[in-house]
Amino acid sequence: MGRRRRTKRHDKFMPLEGRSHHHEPDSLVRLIVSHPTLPNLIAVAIGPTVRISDCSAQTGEVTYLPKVGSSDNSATASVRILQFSLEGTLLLTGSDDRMIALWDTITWKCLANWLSPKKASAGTFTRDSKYILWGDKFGDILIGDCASRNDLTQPQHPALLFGHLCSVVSSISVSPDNRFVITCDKDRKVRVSILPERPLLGCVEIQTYCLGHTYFVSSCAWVSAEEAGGMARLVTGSGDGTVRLWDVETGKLLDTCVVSEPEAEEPSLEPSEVVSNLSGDKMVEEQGGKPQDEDIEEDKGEGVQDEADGRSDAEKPENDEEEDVEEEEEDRVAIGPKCPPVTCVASSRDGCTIATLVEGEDEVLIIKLNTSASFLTIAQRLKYPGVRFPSHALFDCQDRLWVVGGPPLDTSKSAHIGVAAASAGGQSFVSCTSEVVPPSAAAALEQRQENEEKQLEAGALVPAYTKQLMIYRKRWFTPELHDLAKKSRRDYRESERLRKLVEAGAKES
Amino acid sequence: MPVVHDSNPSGPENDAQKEQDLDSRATSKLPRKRFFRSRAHSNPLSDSIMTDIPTDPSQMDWASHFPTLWKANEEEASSSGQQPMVQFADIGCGFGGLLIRLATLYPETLMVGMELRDKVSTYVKERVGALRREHPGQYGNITCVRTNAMKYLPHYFRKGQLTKMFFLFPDPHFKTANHRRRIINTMLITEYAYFLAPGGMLYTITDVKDLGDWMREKLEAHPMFERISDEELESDPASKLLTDSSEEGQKVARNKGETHRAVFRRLEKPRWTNLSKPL
Repeated sequence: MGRRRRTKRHDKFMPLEGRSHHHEPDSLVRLIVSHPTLPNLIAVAIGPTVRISDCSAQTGEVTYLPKVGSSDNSATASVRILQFSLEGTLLLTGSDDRMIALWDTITWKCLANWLSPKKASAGTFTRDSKYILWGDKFGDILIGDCASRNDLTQPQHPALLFGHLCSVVSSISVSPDNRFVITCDKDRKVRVSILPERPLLGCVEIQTYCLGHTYFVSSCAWVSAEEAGGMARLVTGSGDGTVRLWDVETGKLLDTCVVSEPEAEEPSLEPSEVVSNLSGDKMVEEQGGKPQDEDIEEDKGEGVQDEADGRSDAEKPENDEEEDVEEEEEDRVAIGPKCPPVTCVASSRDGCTIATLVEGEDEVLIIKLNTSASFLTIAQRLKYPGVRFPSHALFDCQDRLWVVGGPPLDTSKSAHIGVAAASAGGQSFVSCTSEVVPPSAAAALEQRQENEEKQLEAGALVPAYTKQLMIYRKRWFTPELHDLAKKSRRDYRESERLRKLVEAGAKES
Repeated sequence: MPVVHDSNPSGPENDAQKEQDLDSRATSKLPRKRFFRSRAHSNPLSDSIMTDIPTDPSQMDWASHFPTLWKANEEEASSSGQQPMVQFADIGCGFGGLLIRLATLYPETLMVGMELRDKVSTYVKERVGALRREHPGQYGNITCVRTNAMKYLPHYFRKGQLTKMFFLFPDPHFKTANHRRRIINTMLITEYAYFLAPGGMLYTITDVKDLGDWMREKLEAHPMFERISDEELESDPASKLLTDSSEEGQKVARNKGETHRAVFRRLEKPRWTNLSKPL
């Protein structure tokens, strides 16, 4: 054991606001949820604020959820978790000041809160709404009892359900039959654990792993089909640009649907063209949207932007403002498949439609599940007029598709909200934002800012929602340099000597 | 695992002496350990080896690791319909001492060592290759894989595939803040229970008392494992190898340290009955 260091106190014992931040803050994330039984009641989280509005009320009234944390950065702590319970009586929020709160959905009063040991990154209710589960950035899955009530100034300590080792948990979900907990993380794993009868004592059995993604897994959703016996299957979206279908009892991969391809070197090949080549004759163009030319121009702008960035998401414009970012941050390059990642998958109530969002694209991909729940096909590319860079999508109880997007600026407080309903034929979705959300409600929920909108128009902004899930290496340490360093190592020479000995021996005999 | 010192007493080398050694011992068929010396600690949380990991257990190329046995088993496999499987795993195998002793004790069983450090895993592979050449027909059932066992084990093994798992002299991670990085901790025990078949055994041994107590406590508290008493271990040949088969164990014996051994069995179903408090 070494000498104890007297001078430096461990970060853990310092107050929260005094902690040194060794990494840059995460990108702004917008979340949207809709009440499970009241179709027009939606909650939108933009950074630290949560706005709730009942769109059918025509009054444009917006409720703001107050902050329950007492630490200094509670006012600016982004909300990462936003979920309604299955009946809609409870709302779960989790934010970057490590506070997890449970709210009553009638009075919007906070009922109970927990202090998570680390910042939370994903959360959900169990299907019987008895427990809340959330995952944090260090891979732990924590559990709280929904029935508990506490003094809000003394947040409770949660129990530990299980953990992935030191890997950001990007998504957590409970299967519809309440048997399994699915957790997706940055290390390409989708883990299916068996939810025990007394979850507060911990979860000790793993059912299976769903392995197949080649990069981080960002989100998951449940689908089912009548002919497959109504059994739920899992759909996951990942940074490798695919959406995959799994059977959770065995962990078997049933189908892979490629939704984004790596960007080509020359800017003339737009992502939209590449996707259309893939999905072939199954694709149905969205009706009544902008003409095709405009789409291509916008995509081209985004494509060129990404080229210029060189896919190094660490070097966003705000690096100039922040002086305390480590020098390493600017030298980092993201490694991994060079295609735009899938940021969100959402499934409809009838279980056979999936909405997929790809980072940097304005269009939502509608994927259909076939009747025997065994493969996926891209059915439509839906564009919402007025919504840029959607980051989160959701189907409400009437199976209308809501999306939230907006300028990907970390200081933004605005959002773009859109909703689409299935057309009369039932085959495709049509945007109907203006009918569902009255202008007063839209204005109050969205709060668009002129300068941000102008920046969006100019094409100056690039979203980086999944920055925290990517893997980086030092810019100067290229694979070639790595190989060169390896060749000059002593063990390499020894291996070469042995290999030559073996060859010489083989020749002699 | 701390660095194991080579038995060569010549002290630190300079280039001239290195050249001399290379000439005089250039005919040695076994890899010389001093060229593969590596730091004791390797960061288990780093992402640098993510490119070599198989996507899932069916994609793992075991045939290249077990060239003779795999083919033989494939003929059996196609006739009997069963796949050959790796059954023993030595997590943190170091320089491979345990694997080499186990190979002759269980010649029909495929076993694999997982090691995080590049140089050390290369050494084990070279050593196994040399042993296979010198003893034809033997040592075809062991190999070493360079991987991060804490993160990527599910990519190599299926559920219930392993019958024995070995954790010999793991890194103690003394600081409280680093306790979560210990290879035996509650989170990972759940994963090890996933890989072990019911009735499978998990062997741990260490010379650090604090770590020995910690590992025993965590495993005893976990509902999927129960402790095997020393009397039952008398009939198990593998448990006798724990103390002095690996290089680390030999070093402990040389320094006359004490070892703390604990062996556990994986249960069929979790035993919740005598637990009232959380993990």
